[in-house]
Amino acid sequence: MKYTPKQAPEGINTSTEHPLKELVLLLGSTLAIILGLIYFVIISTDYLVKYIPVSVENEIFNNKFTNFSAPSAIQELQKQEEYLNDLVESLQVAGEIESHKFKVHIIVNQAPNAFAYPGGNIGVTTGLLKLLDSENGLAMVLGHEIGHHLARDPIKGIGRGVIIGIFVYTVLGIGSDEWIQGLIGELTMASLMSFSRDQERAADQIGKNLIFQHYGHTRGASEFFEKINSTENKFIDSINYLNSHPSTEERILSLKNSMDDNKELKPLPDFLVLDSRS
Amino acid sequence: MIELSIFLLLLVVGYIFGHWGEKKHFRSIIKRELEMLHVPVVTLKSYPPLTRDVDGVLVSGNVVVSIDHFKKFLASLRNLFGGRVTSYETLLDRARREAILRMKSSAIEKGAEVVINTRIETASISKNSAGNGNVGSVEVVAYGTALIPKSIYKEQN
Repeated sequence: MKYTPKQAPEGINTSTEHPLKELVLLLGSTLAIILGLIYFVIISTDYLVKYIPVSVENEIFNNKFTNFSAPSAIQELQKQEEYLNDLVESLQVAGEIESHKFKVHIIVNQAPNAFAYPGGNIGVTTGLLKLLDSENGLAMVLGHEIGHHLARDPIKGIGRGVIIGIFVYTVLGIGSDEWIQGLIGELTMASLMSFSRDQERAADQIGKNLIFQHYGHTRGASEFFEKINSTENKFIDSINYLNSHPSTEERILSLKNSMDDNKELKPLPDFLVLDSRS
Repeated sequence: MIELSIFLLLLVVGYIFGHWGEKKHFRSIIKRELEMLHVPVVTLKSYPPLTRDVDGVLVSGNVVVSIDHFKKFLASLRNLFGGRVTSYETLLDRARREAILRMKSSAIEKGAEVVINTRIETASISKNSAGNGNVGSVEVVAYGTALIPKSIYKEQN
């Protein structure tokens, strides 16, 4: 028998599959697993957060958010902060909210905005005080932030921020890198600030109920959004605020009650508007 | 950030050059295998059908080939899920065939008619440091006994 040499066929020991396809498949499933894990942890923190007593939350965050304003401004703003705290207290009394303690801080910032920070802290910008005309409108904004606190939204946000931060930390794995630390801070802050639309709607509802209980009507509930929406205020840097929120028109519609149009609005005291710094 | 971008850069460089180099290498392997087809390489310890007197000479071919970062990353992802590590399969296939080709070409140079008792061995280089993020490489040695007709062998020596 004669020997005839033959070349072995290709593809026995190797696969013809494109390496990029494999990469996409493997990386995709890895990322999906990681995201699933993050999602699961976030859901469980959202669920578990309500078992943290308010007193513990206050204890942890009480001294964290006291100096929003520049140190020199604290003395000047004392009167205004006192007024805001009194307003919140009267809303609390009207709404019979005894479980929480709130503290309002004024933030020197032109953009009209308000925030709910963990530990019962509420931040109100000087821009917001300048924008609003009536106490009812201001009470609505404060009531909205109270609503966030009642739903434990701020501490949920912190929980999410920490979880996301830990994952970013672990996945990117570089603790000493300043950029990463900045990113973690940003992410924590972003998740703190960005409540979901449902959370916003629920907080709106609580705010509306609170001012109804306090004033006996809901006129002024939509003042903030109407002002924000009016053309002369469009230039104000409120884009960030509006992005994560339900549309302003939608919120005006849900808050405005034409039955209350003839009701009286309580004007804001003059000292509240800080012309010199706004 | 810097570390991340370096990693991505290594990945891209690894993919572009690794993929291109591998394709080129496979083409050259197939071409040379065809050219050297007339000399059989077998694992038999003896080769009966030779009619002439022959001398046996040791021939060997040796290849060291390194993985790139893309292959390494792909393999480490594969480690999570299990299955065929295709990125290493092609690498080792290339190394094996190249080692045999180098052995064969040295045998042909010596005028051999056949290479018997062929063995292939492999060793990994920098195995210990592979865990520290270094790129490891693998060595493949093919060796066998080239059977050279006495007349040709005498001429050479």
